[in-house]
Amino acid sequence: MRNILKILSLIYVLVVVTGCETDTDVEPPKFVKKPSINCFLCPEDQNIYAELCYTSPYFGVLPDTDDYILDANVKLFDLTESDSAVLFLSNSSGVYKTTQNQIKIKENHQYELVVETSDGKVHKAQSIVPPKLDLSQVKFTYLKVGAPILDSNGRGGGGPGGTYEKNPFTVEFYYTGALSKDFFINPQFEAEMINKSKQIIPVEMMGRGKEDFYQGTAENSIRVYSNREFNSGFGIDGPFEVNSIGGTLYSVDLAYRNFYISQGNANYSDNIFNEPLMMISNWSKDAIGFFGSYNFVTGEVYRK
Amino acid sequence: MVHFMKSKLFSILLAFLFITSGYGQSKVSISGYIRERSSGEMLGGATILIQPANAVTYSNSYGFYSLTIQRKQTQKIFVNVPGFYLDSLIWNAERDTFVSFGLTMMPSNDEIEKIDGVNIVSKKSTFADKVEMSKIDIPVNQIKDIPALFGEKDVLKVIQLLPGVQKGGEGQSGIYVRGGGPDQNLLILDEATVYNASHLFGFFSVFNGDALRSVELTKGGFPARYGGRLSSVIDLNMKEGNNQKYTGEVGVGLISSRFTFEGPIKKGKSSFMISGRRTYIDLLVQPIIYAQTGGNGGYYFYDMNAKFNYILSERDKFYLSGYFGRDNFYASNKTGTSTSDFGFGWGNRTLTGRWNHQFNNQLFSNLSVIYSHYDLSIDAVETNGSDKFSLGYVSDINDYGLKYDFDWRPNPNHLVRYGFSAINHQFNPSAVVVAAGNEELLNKTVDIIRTNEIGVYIEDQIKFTDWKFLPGLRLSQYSVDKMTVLNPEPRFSASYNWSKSFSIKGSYAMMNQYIHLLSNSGIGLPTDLWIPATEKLKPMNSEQIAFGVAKDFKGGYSLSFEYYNKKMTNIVQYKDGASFLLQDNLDPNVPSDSKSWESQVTSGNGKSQGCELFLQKQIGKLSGWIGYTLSWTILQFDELNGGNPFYAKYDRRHDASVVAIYKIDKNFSLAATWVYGTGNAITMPQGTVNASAHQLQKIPYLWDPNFGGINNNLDYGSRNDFRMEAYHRLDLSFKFMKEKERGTQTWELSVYNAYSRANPFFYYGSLDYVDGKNVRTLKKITLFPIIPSISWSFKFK
Repeated sequence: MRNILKILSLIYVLVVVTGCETDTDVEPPKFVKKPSINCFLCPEDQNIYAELCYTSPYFGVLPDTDDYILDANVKLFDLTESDSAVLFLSNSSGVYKTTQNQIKIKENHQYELVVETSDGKVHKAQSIVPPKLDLSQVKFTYLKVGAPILDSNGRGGGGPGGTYEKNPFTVEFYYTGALSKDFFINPQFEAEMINKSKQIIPVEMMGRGKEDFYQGTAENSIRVYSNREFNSGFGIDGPFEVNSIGGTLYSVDLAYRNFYISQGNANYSDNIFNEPLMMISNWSKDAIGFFGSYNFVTGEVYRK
Repeated sequence: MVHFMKSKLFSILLAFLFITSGYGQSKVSISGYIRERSSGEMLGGATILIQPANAVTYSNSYGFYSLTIQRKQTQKIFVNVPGFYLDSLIWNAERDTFVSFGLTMMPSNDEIEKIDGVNIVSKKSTFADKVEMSKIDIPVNQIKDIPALFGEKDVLKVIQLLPGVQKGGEGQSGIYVRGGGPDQNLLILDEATVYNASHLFGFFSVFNGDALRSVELTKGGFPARYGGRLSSVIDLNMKEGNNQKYTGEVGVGLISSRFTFEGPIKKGKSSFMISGRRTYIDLLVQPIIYAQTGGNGGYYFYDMNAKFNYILSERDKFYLSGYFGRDNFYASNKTGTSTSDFGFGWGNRTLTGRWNHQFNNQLFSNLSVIYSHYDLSIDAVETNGSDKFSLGYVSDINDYGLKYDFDWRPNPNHLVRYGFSAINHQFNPSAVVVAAGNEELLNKTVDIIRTNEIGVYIEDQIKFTDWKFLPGLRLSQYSVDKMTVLNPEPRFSASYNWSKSFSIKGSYAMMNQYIHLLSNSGIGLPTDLWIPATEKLKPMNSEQIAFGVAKDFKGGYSLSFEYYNKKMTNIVQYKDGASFLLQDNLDPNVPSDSKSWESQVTSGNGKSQGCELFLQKQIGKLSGWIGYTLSWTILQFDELNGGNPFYAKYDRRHDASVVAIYKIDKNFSLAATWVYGTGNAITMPQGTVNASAHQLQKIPYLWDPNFGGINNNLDYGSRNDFRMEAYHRLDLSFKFMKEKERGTQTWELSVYNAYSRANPFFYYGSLDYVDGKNVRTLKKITLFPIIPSISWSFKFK
C-alpha cells in the first residue's frame, strides 16, 4: 500500500510538473511595414548617403532578402541657408546619394531630409550639424596607471614562464570648449602605454555605449571619466606610464548618439528579463531610423 | 526624529492630547471592549447602539468602544458583530461606566433580527451604514471556503476577487488596485510593512490565513491615518491567541502543511498564538530532478507567525507579534571535476510591540514600535578542477518605526482620530562580490541609503442627521540626503443616508509615496527592487475622487456601485532596454555609486478611471458575490514611447469575479469561483530592420565583418499595444466536515482551473526552419492546467 501511494504521489507530481508548460501558437501582432531610413551628415564627408529599406516581418515566413526602397523621392534641405539637393538612387541596396558639390554640409546649419515613398507618404526628420571640436580644449585632470595586478593563474593564454599583468587605468579630462547641450562628445582615443624598458602597449579608450557620449553643457566644461583595465600580455611587465593619447574626438547630435545606443543594446531586446527596446527614431510617424549629424577632429591630445 | 520632536507640529499634538484627555466632564460615558467570549479575541467593527438615546458607535480594531451621551433615563445597549449573537445590557446612565462584552459566535447563517423595531443585522455587515467608501472587510472565515491552487488558502488571492482589484497575471499574487502598480499597495501585518508578499514568484502569498483575525482593504477615500502608498491599504491583523483554553489546528495539503497553536499563558490575562507553514515540494521533486539531471535541486518556502499578549489591567494591554518567512531555490550539480551550486532566496521579517492604553472613558491610544526587513540574495559557486568562480548578490531594506495613535470619542456625533508615525528606512540596493579563486574580481556595494518618513494626522468622523462626514488632514515629511519635503494630504469622505438601507457616498484623497518598486514588466520576479525617492526620482503623488451608491436589500443582499478617477504623478518605470540585472553592477568600468539604478528608470504620470459593481450576499445557504470592473489606465512618460500616452501593462478593460459558497448542511459545502479579465497589454515586435540593409562604410562600428554585421533591430511600434488573450478560470471545491471527539475534521477536494483553460504566462517568438524557409511563430507559455488537490485539516476543540 505504501509503495502504491508513493508511486501515485510521484505520478501526480510528474503530471502536474510536466503538464505545467504548454507551447501553443497564438495570433501574433500584425506586421506594420515601415520605411527604415538612415542618413548621417558630416562636413568632412564629400559624399552624402541615405539608406532606405522597408522593415521585414518579425513573425511568419521571414523573407530571404531585404526589401530595399528603390522608388522613393529623397531630398535634403539646408533650412539655414535655403539650399537643397536631390539624392538619387545609387545602387540596388536602397542607397541614395548626393555630394557636397550639390549641397554643402556646414557646422551649426539645420538640415531636413524629406523622403516620399511610393505610397504617397512623406517622412521628415531634422538635424543640426555639430561644430568641429578643438583638441587644445582637452584638459587632463587625472591620468594614472595603477599598480599592476599579477595574474598568477596565467589566464589569457600565452606561453609558460611569463607573467600576465592587469593594469588599472584611470583617466579624467574636461573638454573646456563651448558646446550646446543639443550635442554630445564621443572620444575615440588610443593611449600609448610605455614601461621602463620602453616597451609600448596601445590601449583603446573608445566606446559607443551610452556611457561614452557626454552631453554639452552651459558651463563649457564637459567631464569625461573612464576607469578601465588593460592587459600587458606575457613578457611585458609594468609599471606603465601614459606616453601619449591621441585619436578622434567626435561631436555628434542626439540622433547619432541614439543610433549607436540602440545598436549596442540590440543584444538585449529578445531577453525576457529586459524591457523591450523601443526604436528611438527621430523620424515623423510611420518611419523608423535616424537622420543625424556628426563632426570630428583627429590628432594628439597628450604627450608625456 | 529629534528635529520633529522639537517641531511645532509635535507641540500641537501634545496640546491636543492634554485637551482631549480632560474633555466631556458634563456628560456620561460608557466604554469598554468587545471580545469573543470563547477565545477572548478582540472584535473590531462591532456596532454599539444605545436606545432610547439613539446613539451609535463602532469598536476600533482593538475592540475598544466608547459612547458619551447626556445624562438621561435608563438606557439599553445593543452590541452587534456580523456572525455573532446579539448582546445587550441595561445601563442606568448615571455615571461613567466601564463594561466589556463577550459575544458568542453563531453556528449558522441567520436572517435579520429586529429589536424593538430597530433593524439589527446580526449576520451581515452593511454597505449603506458606513461613511467610508471603497473599503471592504474580508471575513477571514470566508477565505477558507474559497477554492484555491493546490488547496492553499490565500488571503491575497481572495482580495484579487474583489472589484477594483486586478490580478497581475497567471499564478501571480501581485495586486493592481484602481490602476496602480503593485508597489502602490501598503500591506501591513500588525502595523509592520511587508515588502514582498509573495511565495513562489507570486503563486502564493506570505499570509497564513490560520494566523489572521481580520483583513481590511481600502482602495479609495483613505482616512488620514493611512499614508505612504498611492493605491490601497491592506491592513491585516494577527489573532491574539485564545486566552481561555488551548486550541489549535493542523492541516496537510499536497504541497505544504501547516499548524496553529494558541492558548492562555494565564487564563484571562495573557495568551499566545503561533502558526507555521512549510512546503515539501522540494522533497517530492528531488527524485525527478536527480533522475533527469543527476543533480540536486528544489524549492521550498516556510513562514511563521507568533503573537503574545498580556492584559496588565482593564486599561492597559501589551502585544508582541512577529513574522518571518523565506523562499529558497537551490540547485547543485556535479560532472567529472566540475561542480556548481546555486542558491536564490528572499524573505521578510517583522516585529511589532504595542501598548494599548485607555486614558479615560473617551480616549484610547495605541503605541507601536515596529521593525521590518526584506532581503533578496543570490549565491553561485562554480568549480572546475582547481579553478573556482563565485558570485554573491544581496539587496535588502530595513525599517525602524514608531507610531502613536489616539482614538477620542467626545460624543456620538464625533469620532476623532489623531496621531503620528515615524519610520527610518535603510535601503541597501545592491552589493555584489565576484571572485575567481582567492582573487576578488569585483566588489561593488552601493552605499546604504537612509531616509526618514514622518506623518502627523487628524481626522473626525462626524454625524449630522442623515449625513456622515470624514474630513481629515495628514502632513507627511520625507528626507533623504539633502532633500526634505513636506506634503499636506487632505482627505474627505461624505455619505448621505437616503434611507436606512440606501446611501450616496463621495470621497477625495491626496496621497504621497516616498518609495518605488523597480519591477520588470515581463515577469513578476522577487528581483523587483525597492528604492527610495530621491532628488532625481521624486516622490509619487496621487489624487483620487470617487462617487458611489450603496444599497442593502432584503435577504441579505448588498449592492454597491462606485466610479473613481485617479491621477498619479512621478510614477516610475524601467527605461527601454533596461534590465533588473542592472548590468552596470557587473561592469567594473562603471563607478560604484547609488546612481546606477537611477539611470535605469524614468518617471512619468498616469491616469486611471473606472466603474465598479459589487453585489454581495452574506447570509443564507448560498452566499458569495459578483464583482465587475470596467476601467482604463493610461500612462505618459516623456522618455518612453516617444512621449506619447500608452496603456499600462495592467490596464484591464473588463474584470469580473463570481464567488459562490453553498452550505448544503452543517457537514457539507460546495464552492465555486469564476474569474475573467482582459489580457495584459504588452509590447511585441511588429517588424525588424535587418543589419544587412544598412552598410554605410563611413560609420564606424556599423558594419563589423568580424561579427557578421550589427544586430537586427526590432520595431515594436507603440508600447503596450498588443493584448494578451483574456484570462478566465473556474475553480471548484467540495468540503466535508465531521465533528469528532476532540475537534472538527475537514476534508477538502478542490479543482483549480476546472475546464483547463490555457491562460498565458508569457509569450515568445520561436524560430524554426520549415520547408526551406525561416518561420517565426508566436507562442505562449501556460502554467496550470486542471489541477485537482486534496487536503485534510483538524481543528482541536
